[in-house]
Amino acid sequence: MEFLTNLEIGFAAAFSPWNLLYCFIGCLLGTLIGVLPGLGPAATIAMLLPITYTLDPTASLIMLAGIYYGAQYGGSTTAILVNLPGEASSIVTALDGHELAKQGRGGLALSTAALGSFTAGCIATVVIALFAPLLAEAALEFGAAEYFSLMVLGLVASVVLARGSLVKALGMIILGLLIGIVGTDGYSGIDRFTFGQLELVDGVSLVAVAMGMFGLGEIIENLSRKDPERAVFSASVRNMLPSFADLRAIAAPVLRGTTMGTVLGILPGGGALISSFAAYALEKKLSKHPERFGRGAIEGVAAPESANNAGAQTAFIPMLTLGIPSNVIIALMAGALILQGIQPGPGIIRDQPDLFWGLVVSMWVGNLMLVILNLPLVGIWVRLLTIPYQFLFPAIMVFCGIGVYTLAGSTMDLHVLVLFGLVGYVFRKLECEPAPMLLGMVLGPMMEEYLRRSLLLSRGDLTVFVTRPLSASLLAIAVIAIIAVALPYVRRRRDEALEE
Amino acid sequence: MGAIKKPKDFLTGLLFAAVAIVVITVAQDYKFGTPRQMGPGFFPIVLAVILLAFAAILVARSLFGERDPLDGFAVRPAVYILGSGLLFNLLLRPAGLIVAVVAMVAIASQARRALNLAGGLLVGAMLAAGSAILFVYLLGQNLPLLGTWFGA
Repeated sequence: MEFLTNLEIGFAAAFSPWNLLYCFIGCLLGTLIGVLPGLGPAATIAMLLPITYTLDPTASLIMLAGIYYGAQYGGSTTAILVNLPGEASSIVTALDGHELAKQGRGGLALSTAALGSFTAGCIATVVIALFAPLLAEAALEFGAAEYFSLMVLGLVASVVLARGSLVKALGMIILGLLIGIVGTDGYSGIDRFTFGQLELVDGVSLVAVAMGMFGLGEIIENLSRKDPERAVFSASVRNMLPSFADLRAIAAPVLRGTTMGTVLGILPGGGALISSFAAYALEKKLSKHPERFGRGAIEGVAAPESANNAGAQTAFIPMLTLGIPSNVIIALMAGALILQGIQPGPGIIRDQPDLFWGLVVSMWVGNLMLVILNLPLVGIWVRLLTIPYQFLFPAIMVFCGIGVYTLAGSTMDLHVLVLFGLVGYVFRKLECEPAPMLLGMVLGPMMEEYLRRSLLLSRGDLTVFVTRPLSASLLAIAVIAIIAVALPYVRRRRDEALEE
Repeated sequence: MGAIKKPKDFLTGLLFAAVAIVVITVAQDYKFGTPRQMGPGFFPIVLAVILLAFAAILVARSLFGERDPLDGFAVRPAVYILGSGLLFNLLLRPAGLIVAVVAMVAIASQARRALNLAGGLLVGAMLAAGSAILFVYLLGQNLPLLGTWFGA
């Protein structure tokens, strides 16, 4: 019965006219930036953070969440029709989706992506509603050692499931942790690594670093390449309605993708991106005709699109229940909450029921809006792609600059933005993934704090992390994951699965 | 560079090592403490030592295996984008939003030779007007349209 009362609170919050409007704005913006390559949800949310100051916390979180999962819908449109993933999490969708479009079945691919995403969104919403309160309750029992081990696991997971070199990714995490501790040490009151800059005592701005690495760094990378050929297959968008046989063919992949996304989304370090890759690999493995993949297999659209949407939604669970953001985008939303004076963590569900349940219900409403926004309006979104990049990238730069400056009115933040534009480009050339670094930056101060507290309580005994059963199991999973990836056989298989 | 088979690993290793050494040097001024009473220097130094180990692995690894060359850096876009970004930072307070945006966009647009300077100025003017309306008038953000140079 409590569940029904909670849903009632959620419906009341999500269906208030203003919140519906912000949900719609979020979904619309999400679709827009999802369709446009070169502008992702991280940069968009970062740009909008200053604006959310003026909104009520529930409305701002509903809108920001809409941008994140809305981008998953929009990204698939571009991937299918133009073979240009609008979002990183739609890379695998392009493989088979674009083939289908070439064969004149683009309409089917689009409706499969939308239906898959919608199904996944509904299921993920229920999972959050059922699972998050339990986890939040369990989290109240967590001690400092458990939190520390959980963060280690989250950081390791973000590396193990990413692609590329393990050592580089682990190094990027450490780099991020180090950047994260710049500023005044809350324990001793000493300013660390500020090099005498007053504007750095509050730490390096996460938004500035994220927009530098993902915004400016990507612009330089894109400009250094030739404009890709953009063949738009909008003619094939007729015949959107899948036949009964189509529905039967996609049902199982959608459910498998949803399960994969739901599980990987909950894992700290997870989210939409990883889920889509894993779901595609799984479908190919299970298929009786793996050779059809890459040549227009509908399962290759259904599974990853369901997975990325489910992953985008369940990725909220660690932040809302444990206070640990699982990826950069969620970390930015946690930042938005902190700006509003709400501490992300186990207390949210208890103290802010309308925020939590309103968000959950709004996700379901938002998914419904997205189906409507995406299927009939697909022609409009495709036309957006005709905006030439030389008009788009200056606009992104202006938004980055203004977004970073208005957050704190600090010129130092602007310099950080430009510096990390350079760092982002260099790391891209060196094939170092930026995402683990940003996650490390978010978790750095928290990890130091929990490490300090654990060791204080254990009187300096380092074995505390392995003698407490829960902490020990979390660390064991992390160690097993690292060893598994380091093994040559698994490593090869992982690279194959991720590179396809 | 003859012995180095993987310049990407090698350079990453050098970068990591440089950061680690800077961290360890600077953190000498912070109290290290003991595990029981971690000082402000404890966590950064432990991290930097781990980073140094990763750097060593990367540098060592770069000497073996198949060759994996590094493509050249795109100097022109990097210089134009970062340079115009820096210009925006320096102009924003003294000259104000309008001038800063126009200057940044005009220069950044030259990163690719698709637009001439006049075109860049035009795009800049449109973006300046658009962001003034959106951010300053509609969203009420605290941004100076005209900076201190203009007596604002």
